[in-house]
Amino acid sequence: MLVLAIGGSFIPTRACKLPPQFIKLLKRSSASSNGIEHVICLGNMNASVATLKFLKDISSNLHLVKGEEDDIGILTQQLSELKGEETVIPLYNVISVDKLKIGFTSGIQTAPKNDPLVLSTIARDLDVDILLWGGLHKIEAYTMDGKFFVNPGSASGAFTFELPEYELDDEKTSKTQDSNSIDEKPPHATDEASTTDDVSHSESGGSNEKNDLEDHSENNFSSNNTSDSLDDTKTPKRPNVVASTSKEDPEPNVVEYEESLDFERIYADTENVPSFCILDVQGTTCDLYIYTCLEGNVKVDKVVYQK
Amino acid sequence: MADKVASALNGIHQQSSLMQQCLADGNLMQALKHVSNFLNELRTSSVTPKQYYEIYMAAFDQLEIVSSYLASQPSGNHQRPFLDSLYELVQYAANIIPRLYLMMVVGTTYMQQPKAPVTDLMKDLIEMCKGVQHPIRGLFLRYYLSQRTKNLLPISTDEEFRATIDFLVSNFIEMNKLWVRLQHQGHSSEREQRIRERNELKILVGSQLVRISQVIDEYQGDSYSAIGYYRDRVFPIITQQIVACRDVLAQTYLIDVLIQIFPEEFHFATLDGFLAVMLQVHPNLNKSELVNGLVARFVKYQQDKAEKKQREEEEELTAQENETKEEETSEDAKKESQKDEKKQKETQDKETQENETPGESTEEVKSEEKDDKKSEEKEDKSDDHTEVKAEDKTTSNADKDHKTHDGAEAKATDTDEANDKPNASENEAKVEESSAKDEAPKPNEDTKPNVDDSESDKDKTDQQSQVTDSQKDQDAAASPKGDLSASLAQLSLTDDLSSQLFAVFWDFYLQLFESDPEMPASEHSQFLAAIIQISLAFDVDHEQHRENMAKVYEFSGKHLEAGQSVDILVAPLAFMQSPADLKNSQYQRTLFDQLDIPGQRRVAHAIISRLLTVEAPFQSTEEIDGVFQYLSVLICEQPEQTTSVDLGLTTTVKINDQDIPQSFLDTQEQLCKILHLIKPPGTPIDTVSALQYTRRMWLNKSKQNIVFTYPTLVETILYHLQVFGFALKRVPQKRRSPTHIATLKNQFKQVSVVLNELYMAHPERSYEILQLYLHAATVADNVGFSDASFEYINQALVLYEEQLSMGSTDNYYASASPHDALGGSSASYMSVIALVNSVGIKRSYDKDAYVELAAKVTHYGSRLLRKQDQCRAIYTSAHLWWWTDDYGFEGELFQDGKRVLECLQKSLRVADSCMDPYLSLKLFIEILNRSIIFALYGAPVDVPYINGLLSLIRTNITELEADKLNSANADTEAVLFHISKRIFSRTCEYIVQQQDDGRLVGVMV
Repeated sequence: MLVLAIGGSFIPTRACKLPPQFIKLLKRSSASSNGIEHVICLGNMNASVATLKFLKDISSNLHLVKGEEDDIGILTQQLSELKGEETVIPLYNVISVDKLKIGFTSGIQTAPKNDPLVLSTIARDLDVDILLWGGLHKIEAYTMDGKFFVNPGSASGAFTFELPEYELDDEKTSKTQDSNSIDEKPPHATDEASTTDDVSHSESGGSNEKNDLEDHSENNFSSNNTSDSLDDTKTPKRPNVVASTSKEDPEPNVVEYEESLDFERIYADTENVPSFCILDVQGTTCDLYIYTCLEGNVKVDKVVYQK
Repeated sequence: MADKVASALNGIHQQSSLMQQCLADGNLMQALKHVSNFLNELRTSSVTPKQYYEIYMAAFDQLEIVSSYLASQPSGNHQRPFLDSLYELVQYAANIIPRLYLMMVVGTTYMQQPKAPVTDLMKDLIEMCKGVQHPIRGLFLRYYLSQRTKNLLPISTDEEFRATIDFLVSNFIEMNKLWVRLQHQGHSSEREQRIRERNELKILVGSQLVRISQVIDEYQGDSYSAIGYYRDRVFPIITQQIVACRDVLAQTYLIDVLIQIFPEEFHFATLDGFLAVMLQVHPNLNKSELVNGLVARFVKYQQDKAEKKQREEEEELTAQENETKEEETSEDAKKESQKDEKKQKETQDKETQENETPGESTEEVKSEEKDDKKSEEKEDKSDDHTEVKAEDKTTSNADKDHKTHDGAEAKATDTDEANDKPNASENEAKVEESSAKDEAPKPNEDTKPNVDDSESDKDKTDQQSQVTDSQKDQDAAASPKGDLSASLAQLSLTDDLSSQLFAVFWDFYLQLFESDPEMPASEHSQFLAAIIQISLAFDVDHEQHRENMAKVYEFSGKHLEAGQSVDILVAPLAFMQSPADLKNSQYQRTLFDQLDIPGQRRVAHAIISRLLTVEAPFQSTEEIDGVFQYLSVLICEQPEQTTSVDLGLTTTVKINDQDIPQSFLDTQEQLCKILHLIKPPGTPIDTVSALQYTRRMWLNKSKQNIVFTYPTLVETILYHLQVFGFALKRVPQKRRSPTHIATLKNQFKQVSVVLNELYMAHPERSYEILQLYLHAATVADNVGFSDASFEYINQALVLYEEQLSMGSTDNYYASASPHDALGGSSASYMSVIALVNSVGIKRSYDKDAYVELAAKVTHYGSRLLRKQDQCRAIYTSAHLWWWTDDYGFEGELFQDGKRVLECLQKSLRVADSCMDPYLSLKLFIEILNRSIIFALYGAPVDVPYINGLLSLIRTNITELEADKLNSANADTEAVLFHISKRIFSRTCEYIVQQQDDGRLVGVMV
């Protein structure tokens, strides 16, 4: 059974439209026989009825949760109108698909956002196997404590006010050792997410050089398969490695800048890759297909989660 | 009436079974007698066209049996073939209708045989048909002839081809006369009914033109040019007939058919003649629709040509592939152009509320099968109702025509005809559909490639006029066989024609304007819009185009009524490539100002949708002004309180107790999207300045609406500022330009001004504005502008205290269950959480400033109204005191274990003070989970502390379980209690899991 997980499109505040490639892709899959059963939107629809209708047309089982920019009053009325029934848009929801329970929330009702331990607590509270959360602009997917955590990123590639990866990496180069790192480290993801051969997908196991306590392995999705370089620079306190943008330069500091500032490069570096996920749930197994749209080409990665 | 059909069908059935018996016995003469008998049923005048069609089809099927029998007979001796004698024999049939049908079935069967005198037979048959002058009988008789001869018409020699064309043209002319004459049968009060009947029958006439176009294309003779032949021999005769019939329905339908069935090259060749015809047609004709149909084809043709050329260049090497592709593309193009035309016509219909809908007739000729019956019905109905007015005026003229052409038989049956009853409209579509199936007229799909081939072969030999040559360069390009040099030579000729097109149409329009002062204003604007399209599509030279446009606009300003120029303003937008195209358009602006508000909105919407399609960025403030002068009508639009809104007919959304139409919100969304296109060349600061300029000059014109556009504006500005800041950050600190720093600082202040303006105008949107302040603070912090960031947070805190702190309980989630940690709560609670999220990731502040903010936010949490909100806000605030993520921060992370413990203790006290013991338990478990997080992150939340919590929870559970025995009915509580216990047991499992990995050792699970 297929479940579409789509993150904030931020239309019109931060983007104008979904990539036409995605629209084509999703429209077709809706027409085929083994179509998408559920559509889960993780907030930040921004009351764009056209986008809402597009999602509704993929599957009438459209589940929305409120994101930080959603005007819940307007959105509820629009969704109710579209579905032809009174609809409530909650802050979180849980659906059962085959033998798995999927919880989803945009995460605005808790703090700190995106903290893996907080997310783990949410998953425990909701008693779900898979937790989808929103608000990020880059794909994240990892297995921790036997549960599967997925953030599908933004389907429109909307811009963000999060610090871009390279900013974190920049600083990291100067910080070789962090005294707190071992004690602070949260319990890490186990390696239950297995990889498959037929799709391009890179795995980095036990890559954290400072972490010899745990058997720590993660699945690391990068749109250009350059995740190896990332592993060296990633922060030890974030067990989940975020998918990188392709143009990332691991050593931007080396370049000498004169008075003229290189804006084009920053625009390119801070550009977000549009993405969404499709979860194929069979029994207690979930195949996660990650769709990214880089320079007009749609790329698919696959990760498997087994309860 | 139905009885008549039933009895007729019954008769046919009976006679035909007798006929088949005779045929089986080999008794041909007796069989023909039965045939003649059932053909007598077609002599009826007392049925409607639709019913006549049913009878006709039944007879048709039986005649096919006769035909195949005859074809299977031995051909007789050489001197006198069997069918030849039979052809003569059947002419002795007593009545004209059976006689002619019999002649046709024998004659056309004869034509299939080798060495048959085909052309003589054709001439004879077409001549004999004149004997039937009753409209319906005559139309069907001639239609039968055309169906039977469909694949038999000879075109192998020039002579035969001419005979075939003569045959078809003459059949068309006569059918058209019969069709027009039908209008004048019977009493004048039945005019409406006549029009309906004629609409049902028009496909019969139109199909003749389709046949002509097919034959013209198929013929492959030497030194033959399809275009030339059409222009010189076919077009004049046909159009002469069309003009002469002086009938609105016939003219509208047939001209539309002509436009649709022949390729564009043919129309180029006959353009002068065509426009001349348009000046002579009936004054009530909707000429603009017809001319627009032609213009749409020209425009599409020109665009395809450009695309094709481009593709040609790309695919030069693969000639073979090329050939197939061209065919495909030309077909596609046709289909698309059809679609376009339909669309255009639909919109025109709506706009102008005109009488006729030729679009429908086009559909019938081309794709009847696909058409939805219902929609067609509707169209037909509207046709009929509206046509009457037009028809009124023509009657007197046409009556004379009718008399001169009327044959003896028609006169004799006039009275019969008057008895005809109205036809059921639900059946109309059927007639058209089924006749279309027999016809299968799809001229456009198969004709064009043929034309290309035949034409390119003749490139060298044919000396055509300049006009005719226009199509050749395209042919040569399309077909790899084409002579390259020849096509190059003709390229210039084509350009010549292109540049003349505007002048040709313009002269035509001016003549029309003179000759027809009565023409409705809506038609004028349609014409002018079409002419603008021509100019845009064909005038590569922009100077020329500008002159043309000025001409058109000047003329429109002078002669058109105010408010009629929407189409004229919308038409050029289809060609707009960038916002720059709207600059310096003084005539346009003048016209626009004359429009009423709804008209202006329509133009503005068209501008927006075009801009979003081309996605070309705004380059300068002039361009912004150029576009936004038109958009300001939307910026200042107030949601209308129309009757339909009041009655709930329009989709509306309630905002602040006001019903806002969804269309209004859509408009504001579109405006926001336009803001993303504002990106002049230069630095991000230039973009921000342009956005601020747009705000000052245009967006803030309506304080009411800034609530819809400012969030997008602010976020876009923040994004560009962030890019600028990141770029600045990459420069080593010492080399950063002070001007750059000052600029950025100033821009951050500007953002604050914008947010303040928004807040002042819309204090009711405090929660959303709070988010914007927090975004601004994050961006400033990201780029290291701690002062600005701190200031934004402070403003957010002020906003919180002024608007949100008092826990406006009307928040959407305020009614969530208190037990639900994730369900949300009052706006004040949600705001505090947002503040924790934002403040917690700030890394650029110095320590004192950060502690001050963190303390304030923690304090806000403790002052929330509801206990559960307080408790959750406080334990969440604990994260403010224990950084776990550096977010690019260099140096030791701020971690204050004492404050973390204080927070946890305090939340525990709040939880304990809850009056609801089940809620207390739930909160204890939540605090336990938080404590585990802090323990895992290394905060001094030690094992004894967690053990204490565990035993507290266990004690509570035991007590509640004891309680529960006493209160058996407490269902809700039982459920909540159960849920809490489940969460607790999952938490314990989690702890065990962690202990397996060597963490949380010593916790007593």
